[in-house]
Amino acid sequence: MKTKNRIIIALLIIGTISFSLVQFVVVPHNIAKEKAYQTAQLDPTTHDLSRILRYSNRYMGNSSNLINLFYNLPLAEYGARFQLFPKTLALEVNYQTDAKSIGEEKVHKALLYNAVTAFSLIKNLEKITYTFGDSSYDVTRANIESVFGKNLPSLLEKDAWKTNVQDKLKNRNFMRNCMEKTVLEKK
Amino acid sequence: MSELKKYVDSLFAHVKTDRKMLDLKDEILSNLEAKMQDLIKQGMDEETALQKAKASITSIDSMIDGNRLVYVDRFKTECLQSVLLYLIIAWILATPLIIVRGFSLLNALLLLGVIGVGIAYFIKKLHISETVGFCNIESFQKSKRLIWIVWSIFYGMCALLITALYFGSNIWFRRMIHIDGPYQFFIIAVRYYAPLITIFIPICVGSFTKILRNSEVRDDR
Repeated sequence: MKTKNRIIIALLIIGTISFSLVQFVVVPHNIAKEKAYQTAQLDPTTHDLSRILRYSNRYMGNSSNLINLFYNLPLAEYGARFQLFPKTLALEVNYQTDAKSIGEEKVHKALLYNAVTAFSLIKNLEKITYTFGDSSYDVTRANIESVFGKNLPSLLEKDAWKTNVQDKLKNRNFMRNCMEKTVLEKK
Repeated sequence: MSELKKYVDSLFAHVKTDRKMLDLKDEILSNLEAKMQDLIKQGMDEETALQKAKASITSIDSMIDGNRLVYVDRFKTECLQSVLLYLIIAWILATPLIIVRGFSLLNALLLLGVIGVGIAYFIKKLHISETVGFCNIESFQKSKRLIWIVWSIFYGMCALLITALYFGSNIWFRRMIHIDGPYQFFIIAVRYYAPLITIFIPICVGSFTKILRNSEVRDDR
């Protein structure tokens, strides 16, 4: 009985130490990591490509796929409504906020990123119209291809995506050029 | 019904009536009747012979197969100690599961169990008397077998359900099983591992038989 009591005390010490380690070190560390990851998903330059690859589809008519894709892209945190125009292969995304309240630079970067993503993943999508409370933008597949190249699906690889999309979006001159060339056309 | 039969029935009032017990009952009754007749033949009056025969057997506990005379309090305390020991082991084994969403409840329940049984054990340990009583080792062995069967069915069902959930369509359509990466593998492994922790229950119940043997009253006490 005494030996068992000693084993119980030893196990209680081991249990308390491991429980405290997991509960007060590992779990908070994981929560912080998850929070940092979620925050990174709001920024086009740090967004994780791997979490949206599953939404690759040949047809824009698959509305749930398209909507889920946009819910996993930057600006999703502001809430959006969607309208599909299958005849013209166009999509309208109505963000439930003003572009000014987000900041123009941030909006342009995010809209371009979302457009490259959508055109790369959804094969027959031709046009996207983004509307905010105070403005709206048009972007077409042809315009995106003129900047990022004809073979958009070839960008869907971790390194290529970082170099040819995310790093370019960090560059202010590139963004200015895009706006001047009306790749993203403000209406 | 004769007085002697009523007496024998009262001796068996606290035991389960099965074929073995009925045989034993018949045997005791015929022995007592023979003893009573013997005493009457020796010149004793019927009432005194009846009382003498009754006095010769006051309990049947020691005659039941598998019944052991044990220090009851010591036995109960050691059983509590065993439960506490296995609960702590299960709690430690469940600790890594806290990091997986939805599994922290299992750890919390085990921790509550450790605290509850720990307090009960501590209180019981303070008041151990030398009271003795009979415990049936065979019923403990039966419970042990039964609990292993129940646990095996439980774990088998869990494993089957998890397999169906994760690999059901692969098996049905004869497709290769594909696991995305180490994290996905970890999540699937956790699903199989969590119910496996409950194995401490049959192991713990199994230890009661050994404790019963250790708590037996020895002749040299």
